Parts: sequence; structure tokens; C-alpha cells
Amino acid sequence: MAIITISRGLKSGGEALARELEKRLGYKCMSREVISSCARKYNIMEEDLYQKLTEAPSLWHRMTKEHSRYLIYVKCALIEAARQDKIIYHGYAGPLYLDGIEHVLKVRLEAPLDLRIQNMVDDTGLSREEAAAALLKVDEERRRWVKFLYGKDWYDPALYDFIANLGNISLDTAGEMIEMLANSEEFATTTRSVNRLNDLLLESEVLAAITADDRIWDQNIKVAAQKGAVTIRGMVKSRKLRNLIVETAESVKGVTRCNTHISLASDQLRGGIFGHD
Amino acid sequence: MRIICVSRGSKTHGKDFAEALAAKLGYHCLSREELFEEAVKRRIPIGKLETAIVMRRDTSEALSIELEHYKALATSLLCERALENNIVYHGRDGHLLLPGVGHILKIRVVLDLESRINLVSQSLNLTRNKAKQYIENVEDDRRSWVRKFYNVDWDVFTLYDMVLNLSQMSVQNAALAVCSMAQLPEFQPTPSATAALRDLLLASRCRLRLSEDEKARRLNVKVRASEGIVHVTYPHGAVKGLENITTLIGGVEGVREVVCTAAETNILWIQEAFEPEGPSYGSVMEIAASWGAAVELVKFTPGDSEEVASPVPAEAESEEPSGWRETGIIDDEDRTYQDETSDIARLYARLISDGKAGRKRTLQGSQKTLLNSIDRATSYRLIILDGIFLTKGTSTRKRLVTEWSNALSDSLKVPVLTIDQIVSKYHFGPKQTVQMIACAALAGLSLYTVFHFDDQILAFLSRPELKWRLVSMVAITAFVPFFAQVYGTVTSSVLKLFKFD
Repeated sequence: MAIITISRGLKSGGEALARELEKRLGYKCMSREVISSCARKYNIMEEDLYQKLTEAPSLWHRMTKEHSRYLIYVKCALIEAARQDKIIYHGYAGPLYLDGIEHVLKVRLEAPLDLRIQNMVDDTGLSREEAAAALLKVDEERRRWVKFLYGKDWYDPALYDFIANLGNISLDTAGEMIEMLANSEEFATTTRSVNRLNDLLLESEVLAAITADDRIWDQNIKVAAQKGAVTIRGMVKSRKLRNLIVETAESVKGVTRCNTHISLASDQLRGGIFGHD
Repeated sequence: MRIICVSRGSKTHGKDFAEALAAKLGYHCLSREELFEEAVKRRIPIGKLETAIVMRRDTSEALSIELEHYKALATSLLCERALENNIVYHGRDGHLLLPGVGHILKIRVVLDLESRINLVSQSLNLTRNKAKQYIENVEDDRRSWVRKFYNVDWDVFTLYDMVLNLSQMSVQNAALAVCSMAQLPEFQPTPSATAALRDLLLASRCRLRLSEDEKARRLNVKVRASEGIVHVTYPHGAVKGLENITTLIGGVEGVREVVCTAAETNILWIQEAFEPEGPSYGSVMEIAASWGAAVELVKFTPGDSEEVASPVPAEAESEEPSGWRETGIIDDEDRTYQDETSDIARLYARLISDGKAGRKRTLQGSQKTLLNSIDRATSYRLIILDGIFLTKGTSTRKRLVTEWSNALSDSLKVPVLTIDQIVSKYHFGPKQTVQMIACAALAGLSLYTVFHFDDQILAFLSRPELKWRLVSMVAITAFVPFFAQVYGTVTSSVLKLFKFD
């Protein structure tokens, strides 16, 4: 039993592979459903959410409150969906949001540009040149998006467990290989990996709660969770903000204890000026 | 003769994976290190080559020749082993060593950076930062090596069939998963793959034969083979030592004929049916002569079925392939060679007599078969794709030729043209003469009008009324592109006439 995420460039056959795996493994296929459930849960327009997730933020709008909030919401929704187990997720950011979960098999599809152009031409009726330009633009957008938000290279093979080249191997062959890997002991769901998934969900929910608060959404903090105990690290401007963050974290369902390692910027400043004389 | 090539970086468990895979499948395991040892035995300065490539120095001609010797040695060893047994080869360039052999399962093995840093730190007793630096340096060296040798990027993942990340998978389980992949039909040897392997073996043996001769060793030649015919290309002006080539290569087992051509580059001409006496030959020869290029012929019959359609059973692998017509290279009965009166044979004979012969091959299959058959390390200046899909209607044929041209051009980064496009782009015939004279007359007339009636034109352009200003604007907007087109045609015709590309 595993969770399979499929990443690919536009028109590389990702959905077809997901359907093939659904048939082989009996897992549930998910993509846009995650965004829909997220939009319902947090009462957001689905299109807005989709746009925030697909378009790299411009230089001017880099990480507005709305942007970072939406991304955290999607992360929560995806982890929530992943808790069902036996799912194939072929939407955005799968390998990035589920990083570090042992029973997640991260698959990437590579297809030659020519094949992708042909798929695009067949599906949209664009000319070859227009299709090629559109594909290259989307690829560049995604690369920038991943680099900006996660500091990772979209094309780094170490981000994935298995990369299949559909230019050389058939969909059926790729499906067979993925089926074998998904059934191997390395990707089996264990108590440890489920606990890690629950911790990841709690971390995301705490971050979502903090981001939702206009007073503290932009504070530079990191959240880690382990079996209900949440640890918050970082630096904030004032004691008041620190207390607010702790209160918000403690109000999240499932948080049993909150450890804070938040320093105050004013203390740091004092230490910097007077600490070394 | 099943072949699996594992490309690996430093400290990625790639060696362990390849060995585990070979053990599970019962294949022979061959590593790049073994090829290096053999190269050292044969006096190929492999260390010098590595240093020159790693230091990004421009390799001298002598070193480039040694690079060819190493490549020939590696290819011959790999082909010999592959023809005798099923093999797993592991090294940085496994996926590129046997161009044109279609059934190879090409795997790249990677590991996450943190695990690699830990492995390097432990094995070389380095700090974390130094271990990271070490890995980055080694990766850069490998990229340079692959770029220099094969003219491609090591990190382009479309060159592999699959990439396995061993960060979470155990070597044994990953090998087990690949074991069943290796049994799939698309990775079974086909007659065309066997023939391609034999051609590579013959060419590399001939190149090595030259390297054993004191005089011929220093010759900067490229050797390729097809159906027992060995093609040697050498730069124009390199005459010294060439006289022995035919004798030396003629003595290698399996050589039927040796064809030597002076050429700096190659033109690949792909067609379903050639017309040896047709006008296309003259058009191609004209550019081949002006570029100093050898012309390689591929008679290609497109087919819907992949060449993997009927794999060769394991027990029949060592036997001579039969029924070639069905699955790959179309060849004649009893493995004799093509009919001397066939279109490609007659065209090839003309090329030999004109001193422009490259290889000739006959292939059948899909677009992938064609792409796989082209050696990326060979320098092609132009690909001619014309007269294929002859059984299709005109519009379908046109569309398919365009699609295949785009695919070839995207993949090989070489211009792909039809004969008609070549004629219009490179040739200067009666039609172009008339066009040039007409455009020159128009350009001359335009210039004469502008300079002779300059006062009237200026007066017309400077009329203050809005209506006339608009008319002058339209006139200028129409005249400028017209003149640019006419003048451009004249200059491009003149350049064509004097053969400036």
C-alpha cells in the first residue's frame, strides 16, 4: 500500500498513467478534487485557488498574505487526502508537499518535446509553433514556481523515486514498473510513516491558523509537530506577537502541547549592540 | 544478446545495483573501469584524455585521435561481449556507447545529495563541505566527458528509459523490479539490433586495426560500417599514410569492401525510394561538393509496427538471423547483401564514383526506429527527408513529412529539409537567374526613381494637409517593405551565385 504522486510537464501523459495505475492497483485517482475540497473547506473560490497554485508569483506580488495562505490550505487538503492511503495524486506539488513520507512513491514522467507538442496540437488544435511556445512557457513557469516556493529544482531527479521516459517505454511498461515499486516493502504504509503524515498535517494546520491571522501571518517562524506536541521556532518583533502565535497554535485541534523557541528581534538587537563591548 | 546499460554518478550505489541486477538475471557484468584497464594495456593515454577533458582544455588533434581509439576499443569490447552473452554494463556513458542499437534498456541511477555526502565523507574522510564540493566536481567532470565524447548533455533524462532513485529503495529490490522489465518485449533483441551491433563491432575493429599500425595510428579518420562495407572519412588534404588504409582494413575479418571519402562533414539523405538518375542527385551533390560533405543514404520504409514486434527467442540468439524483412533491416536471402541493381545500390555507386559516399543502410520501422538509428556523435550538417510515406495521400504525406522533420530536427539539432527546399535555399538555376534579374531591375528602378525625382518626392511627403500626410504615410509604409524584399532577394541570389552560405 502506498500513495503515488505523479509529476510531469504539460501533455506528457500523466493522467493516462494515473488511470492505468488506478486500473492496476485499485487506488483512487485524485487531482483537481484536492483543490475542490480545499476550496469548500476554507470557503475560497476554486478558480482563485487554482490560479495561485499554478502561476508563479510575479516579482511585485511575491508571497502576499493571500498567496501563502492559499498554498498552506492546499497543503493541508493534500495531506488530509493522503491519509486515506491508496491514492494516486497527479495534481500540483505532490512530491513537494508529501516530502519525507516513506510510503509516498514519487513518480515523474518525461516525454520528448515532440510527443508533447503533438499531444497539444491534437487536443487544442493549435499550430505546432504555438503548441511548442505554450509548452515551453508552462515548463518555465512551473520551474520558477517550484524554485521560488520550495527552493528546489523541478528537474532534479533526486526529487523523485522513479522517472519514466514515455518516449522510450510504453505506458503499460511504466505502469508495471510503478506497480511493482508500489507493492515493494520500501513503500509500504507503516505506523511510523502514518505518524509522520499526521505530524505533517498538524504542522500544516498550525501554520494555516497562523497565516489566517492578519496580525501574525508574515512572521518568520517554523513549526514542527510530533504526536500532538508542537514546537515553534523563529524570531518575531514583539512579546505580544509571540504570545499571539502560541495562543493561535494551541487553539488548533489536535495540539496537546506547544513548545516555543521564539526569540524577540528587540533582544537580538540589544545583544548585537551591547553584547560584545 | 540482451543489453542493460546503467549510467551512474559517483557514490550513487550504481555499481552495486548493476552487479545485483546482473546476478539476478544471470547476465555478465562489465564496468567502465574494465574498459579503462584494457585501454591502458593498449597504450591509449586514458589519463591524459581525462585530464584534458576535465580541465576543459582544447584537445589537440593527437589527443582527439586517441579519443577515437578509446571509443573504438570500448565499443568493440562491449559489442563482443554483447554478441556472446547478455550483459549489464555500468559506467557514466552506458546509454550512449552503442548508437543505433534499439533494444538496450537504459537506466540512470541517482541518490539524494545528503546520502551521497555521507558516503563520500565516510569513504574519503572529508568534512561535509569538502565532500559536497568533491561530488560537484566529479559530476562536472562527467558532464564534460559525455559532452566531449557524444555531444549531448548527461543530464537530459529523455536519453534514458528510466531513472531510479535509490535513496529509499534498496539495491536488491530495485534490481528485482528491473529484472521483470528486462523481460518485456521492447527490450528483447531484434534482427535489426543484432545487425547494428555487428556493424558497430566491424567499424570499431577496423578503427583499432588502424591504431595498431605506426603510420595509420596518427590518421584523423572516422570509420563506420554497414553490411560489411567499411566507410572511412578523412579531412581534405590529409593524404599522408592513407595509402595503407585499404590494405589494413581489408584484412579485418568480415570486411567486404572499403570506401574512402574525403569529407569534413556529412549529409544524411533519407528516402523511401531513390532515383539514381533523377535531378535530386545533382542538387544534393552540389551542396555536398560546396561543403566538402560525404552523403550517407538511408532507404527508410515507414511502418506502424515497432521493430520490437517479434523478439528473437533466447535460444535462437546465437544463430544467424532469418526473416529479416519482417522486423528490421530489410536484407536478402542467406544474409547476402543488397541487390546491386537496387535503387540505393545504384545511387551509392554514383556517390562512390563522385567521391562522396558515406554509409548506406536500409531500414524499416517507426519514427523511433529512425531516431535510434542515427549516431549522435557523427557530425551532420544537413538531413534530407524526402519521398517517404509514398503509399499515403498527398496531404497526409505532407503532414507526416513535416512532423517527422520537426522530430528529427528537435532531437538532433540539425536542419531537416526536402529536396525542393534545398533547391530553393541553396541552388542557383535558370529560375533563380530570372528572379534575380527581375528583382535587380525593380531595385534599380526604385533607386533611380527615388534619387532622380527626389525634389518631387520630398514636396509630396511634406504637404501640410492631413489627407496628404496620411497618403504619404501609407506610401512609405508600402514602399519600405517592398524595397527590402526586392533588395533582399537580389543580395541572397548573389550570395547563392557565389556559394556563400
